[in-house]
Amino acid sequence: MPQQEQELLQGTLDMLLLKALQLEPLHGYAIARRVQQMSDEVLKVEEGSLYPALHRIEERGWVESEWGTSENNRRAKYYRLTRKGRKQLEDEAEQWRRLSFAISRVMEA
Amino acid sequence: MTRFLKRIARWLPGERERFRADIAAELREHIEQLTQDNIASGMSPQEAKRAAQLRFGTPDAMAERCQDERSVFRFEEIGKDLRFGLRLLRRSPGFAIVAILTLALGIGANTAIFSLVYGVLLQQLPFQEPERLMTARGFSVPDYDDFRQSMQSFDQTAMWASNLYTAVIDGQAEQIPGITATPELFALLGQPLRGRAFRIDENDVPLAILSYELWQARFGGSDAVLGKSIDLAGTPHTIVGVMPKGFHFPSAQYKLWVTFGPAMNAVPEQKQNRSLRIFGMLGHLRRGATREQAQAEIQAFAQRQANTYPETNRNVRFQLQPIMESTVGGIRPALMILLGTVGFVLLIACANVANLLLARTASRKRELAMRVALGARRIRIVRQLLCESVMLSFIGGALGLVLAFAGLRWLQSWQSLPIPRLDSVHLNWVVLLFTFGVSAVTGLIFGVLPAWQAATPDPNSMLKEGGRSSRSSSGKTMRAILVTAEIALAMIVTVGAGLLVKSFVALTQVDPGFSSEHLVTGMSVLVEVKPEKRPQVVAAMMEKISKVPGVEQAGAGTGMPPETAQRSTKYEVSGAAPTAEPQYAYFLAVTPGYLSALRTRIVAGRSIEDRDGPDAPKVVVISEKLARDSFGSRNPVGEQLKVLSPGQPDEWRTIVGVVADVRFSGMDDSDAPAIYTPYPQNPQLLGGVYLMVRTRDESAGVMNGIRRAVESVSPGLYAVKLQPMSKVVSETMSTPRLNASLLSLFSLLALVLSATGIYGLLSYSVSQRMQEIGVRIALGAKSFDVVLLVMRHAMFVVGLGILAGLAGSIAASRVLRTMLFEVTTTDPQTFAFVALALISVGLLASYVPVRRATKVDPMVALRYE
Repeated sequence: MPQQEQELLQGTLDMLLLKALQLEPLHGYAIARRVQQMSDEVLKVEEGSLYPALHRIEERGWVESEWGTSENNRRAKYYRLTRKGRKQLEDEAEQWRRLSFAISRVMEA
Repeated sequence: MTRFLKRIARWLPGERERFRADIAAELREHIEQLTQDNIASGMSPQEAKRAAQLRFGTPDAMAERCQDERSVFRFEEIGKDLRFGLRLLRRSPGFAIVAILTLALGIGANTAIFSLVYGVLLQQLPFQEPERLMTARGFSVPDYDDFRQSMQSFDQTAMWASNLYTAVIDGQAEQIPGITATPELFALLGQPLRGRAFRIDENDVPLAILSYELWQARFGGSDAVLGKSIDLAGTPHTIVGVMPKGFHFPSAQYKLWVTFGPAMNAVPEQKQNRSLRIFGMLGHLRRGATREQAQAEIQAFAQRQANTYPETNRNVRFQLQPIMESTVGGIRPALMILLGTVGFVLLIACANVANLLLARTASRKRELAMRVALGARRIRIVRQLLCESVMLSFIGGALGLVLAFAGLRWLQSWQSLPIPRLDSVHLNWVVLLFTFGVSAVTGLIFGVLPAWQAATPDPNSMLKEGGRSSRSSSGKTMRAILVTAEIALAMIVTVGAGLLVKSFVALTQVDPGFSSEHLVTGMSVLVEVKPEKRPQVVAAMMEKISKVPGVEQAGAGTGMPPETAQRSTKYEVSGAAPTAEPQYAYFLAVTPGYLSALRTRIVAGRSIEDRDGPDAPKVVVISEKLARDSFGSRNPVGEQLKVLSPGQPDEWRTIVGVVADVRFSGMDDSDAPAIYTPYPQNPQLLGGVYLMVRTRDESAGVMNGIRRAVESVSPGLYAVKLQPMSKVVSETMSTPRLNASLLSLFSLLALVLSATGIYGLLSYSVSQRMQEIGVRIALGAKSFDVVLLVMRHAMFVVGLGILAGLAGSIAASRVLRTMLFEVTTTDPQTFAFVALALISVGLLASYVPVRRATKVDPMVALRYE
């Protein structure tokens, strides 16, 4: 895939992950499930992209990770949105709204 | 806070494994849940698990990708890059050797000069509170006493004078330069290593303190030296202390310190003579006083003394300097210029290695293109290439360090280099840090360009077959620009060297007004002789010396060309209009043999002769310049001249002759009008005469003969510093000689490096154009045409470099202005010569590649890939 398209998707994926964590901390599997649910099964996050992305947004300070116990009583790593992350989510959501609005206008013209 | 600690923890060893384990643990839960899902949709437990695991790929790959997202600079990664780089270097030893050698030369030169700058200029002197010590020369004992009464800026001062002692150690007599000083000197400077300093109440006791070097050399470094007696100038002195290693005051040539009293008491006249200005003052600034205050105070003091004692102090000024400035100030400009020069040389070396790397990354393009296509981040590739560069640079830097210190050791082995504090230059942490830093920065400088170039190729075109022959034209331009810059820098450095060399040569060709062939000089101190007896003593000395076998002409006078004349004076000539400013000339008392021993040309009239005795008419002989200044084209012989100097009688003297100008203020200063008077008519000498003896040869036998002759005149009379005049003259030129030599050395280095650069550029260019050349030859081009084709490129680069260098040289050579003698900073001859030299270097460097181009076999070339 050409370099540019990948990058666009990277940013969008990050945004979706942040959104998924808006309500409560989740672990990896649950995050992927939530995104799937919220998109009505349209967006299926590849595991191969999920974890690198999680580490990426953690590196940038938008989420924090913590070990906890999952529903099945096993050890799992939970990700939680930080204050910086909430701000980032707001900014990116606004940008996305404007972008998609503009694209829709073009396509319906 | 925890986040910060976690980040730091990443640098600890074992991070990789920890992270892997972490990821594995994290994924376990996810895999489990997926497995449950799969079972729920009908797979068997085994299948379910396998299917789930497959979705994650290999744990290693996942860990790798997650780690990539984290940060770029991790120790283990960098370690990997370094090892990889080392392997690559081993595989191309030719490249490695050339690059490392180039870097070693460039970094080594910088290390050497920086060590000099640090050891000589920056490192503090080994005294107590050296930044608060100030010194001034030209004091007389009465002046010093007066100053001490009124001084406010200093809380402690000492007085000192230099002397050449004839010391007898174990029966052996030798001459040792030493310092006689008041006891406060050691309170100001520091305490001895062994024994003790002079006590305040011991000023009149004959005591001595040795320098570390003298202690080691002559007394075996044994502690038994304390209390021993050493005979100095006929008086036994007791040794009470030894100074630490590296302690020198005022400079490294003085090897012992002697109490002040004995020498002064032997000739009490010195204590009252306001004109005997051979003493130096050392002072320690009081708390709260500044240098400026002290300097202002001393100016005011000089003014007051001039008003109170006009005959002796009218034009006396004291120059007060911080002790560091007076010790090393003279050599600072030269060292700074050298520092700039080696900086340029390093840049040239960087350009060379950058070119080498550019050539190499061109051949690694396929490897790198593949990595980019497989998803490697550009930053990673750049980082890896930078690691290789910096590693190369460190290896070169280490070798350079060795070279630098070998060079400095060699420099230190020369005895009489005009570099103060040279012995305190050695390897220390500061120099190591400097070398380390310079290596790192150098590696980044020459590495960043090739690294960036390498990481931005278009992957598609590089992977095509025959990728080698696709010329990246921007790469070629970059390489040409680098070589052009090299040549410009080399030109700047070489022009500097050329100007200094030309200046030095001009200095050696100066007509000093005397002939140094077969001329022995010496000095005899007559302070202990009563002034009225001095003419007799001098006459006796001349007679005895003339009888020494091998001596052709003996003379004595109160000045020694080319640098020393003891007095200058105001004068006036009869019949001349009074001038706006007072006229000054050197004023010497000489024997008849003086001017003839020097073989100074008589221009008009006669020289000083025996008939000019104490009762004969008062006469003088003047120098050509004075004749021109005061008389123009008139013949001065027969005119009258009056010397206006304190202590001189107010009477007219007849000018009986004019002689050629003799240099008395250095070979490079021609402004030296002089007045010569017969010795017997002017017995008020400052207590010392310089001997000028024309001999058949300059053997030790003749010099010993002269020495013995002087000693035989009267007990306590010595002749010291006997040496050929050629040596004296040579020493006055030691600084320009050193400057010219060092700069030439670095200029040679710069030229060699530039030649290598041109060679590399052309070599590469030829190998890239093999096909094209083959085609041309096949189509009938002759050798000459091929030569032109290749040379055009080279000559264009060289020409452009010379033009750029021209502008740079004109600007840069201005810093040399104060060091040049009879050469302007834009001397056309030098510039033309250097340009020619660079063109020759270019031609020479092109020889091999051009030859290779002409020998191309078209059939081979056309198949060349």
